[in-house]
Amino acid sequence: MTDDLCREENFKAVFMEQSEGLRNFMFYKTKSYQQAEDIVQEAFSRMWENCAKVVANKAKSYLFTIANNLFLNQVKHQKVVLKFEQRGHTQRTDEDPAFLLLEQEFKERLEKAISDLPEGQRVVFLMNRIDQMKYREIADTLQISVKAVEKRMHKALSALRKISKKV
Amino acid sequence: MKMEDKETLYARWLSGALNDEEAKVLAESGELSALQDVVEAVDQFKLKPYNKEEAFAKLELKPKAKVRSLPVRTILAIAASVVALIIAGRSFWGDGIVNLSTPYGKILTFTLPDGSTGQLNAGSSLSYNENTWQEERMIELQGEAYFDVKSGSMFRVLSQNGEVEVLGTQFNVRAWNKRLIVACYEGSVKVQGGSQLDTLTQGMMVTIANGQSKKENIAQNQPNWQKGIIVFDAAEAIEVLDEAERLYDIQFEVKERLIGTFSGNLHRDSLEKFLDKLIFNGEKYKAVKLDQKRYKIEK
Repeated sequence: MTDDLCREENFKAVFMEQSEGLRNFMFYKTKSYQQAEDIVQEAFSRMWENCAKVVANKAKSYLFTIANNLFLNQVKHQKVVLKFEQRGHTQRTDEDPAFLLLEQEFKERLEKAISDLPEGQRVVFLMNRIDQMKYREIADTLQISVKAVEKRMHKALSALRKISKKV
Repeated sequence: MKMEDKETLYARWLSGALNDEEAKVLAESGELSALQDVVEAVDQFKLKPYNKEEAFAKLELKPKAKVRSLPVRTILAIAASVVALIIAGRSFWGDGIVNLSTPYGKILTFTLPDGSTGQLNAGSSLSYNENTWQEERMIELQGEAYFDVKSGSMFRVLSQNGEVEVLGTQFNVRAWNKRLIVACYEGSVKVQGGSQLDTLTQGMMVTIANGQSKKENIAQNQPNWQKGIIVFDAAEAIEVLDEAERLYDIQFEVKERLIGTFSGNLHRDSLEKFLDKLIFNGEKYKAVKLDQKRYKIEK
């Protein structure tokens, strides 16, 4: 029953399982939440149209492929900086304002540096740090080897470590 | 350290996969604190929240085309029924379409290619394609039938009023006029009538009419019509007469439009009793016999 994607409940189950990861993946590529979420909608719409042709256990790779094609087809890739939100709310009032400013600056420089990473490295790095995916899972999702994931990860870290905390 | 391993050093440091020698090299390189700063900071990052439910709702999935019409040919079938006589057939055109139908006053027991069985109520018909049955268990139904489905792939019943989907179960579909009534006696059943989608489990029944659906519980474990009884609860007069025509193999002539509802039972063996009790909205009607099979309804 779960392999008929033309059944709305099955389709929805796939959506609930895959949409967020796909959206995050597209955000790492596009650096824009709006663009990422639009692509997710479009990818799922296409999967619905083709529901009879998509095998359920291939749904993930189908979606990632479609989304990636949609991304590649979009004419302009914006030269923008991706923005993160800050986890938790460790607003300690006793914190030195100068220190906080430094932290904020560090965050912004990191965001800029992450945005400037080659796309492949950025995607791997953020899937690992933000989505907390293991190298193995990333490799499966991107259909590359674990070794390739580790190389990209190393390069990303190598570039980012040069963003010194000190100005 | 091999060159190759150097290319993944930081990655393996982060995943805790360095050996002692590598860890030592890295610690002595003085790069560790900068790496730690980066990872620590990035691990505080999160993305804007994403609302899956909202995103899903925005998809506005177009319902899949439901009712397909099969070319209807004629006949043959297998039937073994205590109650039934049969007209059934198989076409010899090689397209595999099997069409079964029942005359008024008769019930047909049928067996499908996968061993699923069922009964077709009076004045109803169904068709399916024997050649494609293995790939797709799909039946087109007009009227009313009961199914006892062998578990397996999706089993679909298409009617003009909606569609029913199951994997393996026992259920009854009644699709006359504009109403679709589905009762589930075992397992679970999915019913799509217009834009309405309902899931029934054992002991539930749904009535879909005018885009509205009403679910209720049922006590029986098989449809009453299999026992030769039709139960009406505030049913439209016209529906009751239609049903009586099919059950008793008779025809009514109605001069004026009958308006009103009827509650009560029809028993296969008691046409006379039914004709005696023709009361719609509290008003008594008479049935005047015109010939062997025809009756005129009048006040």
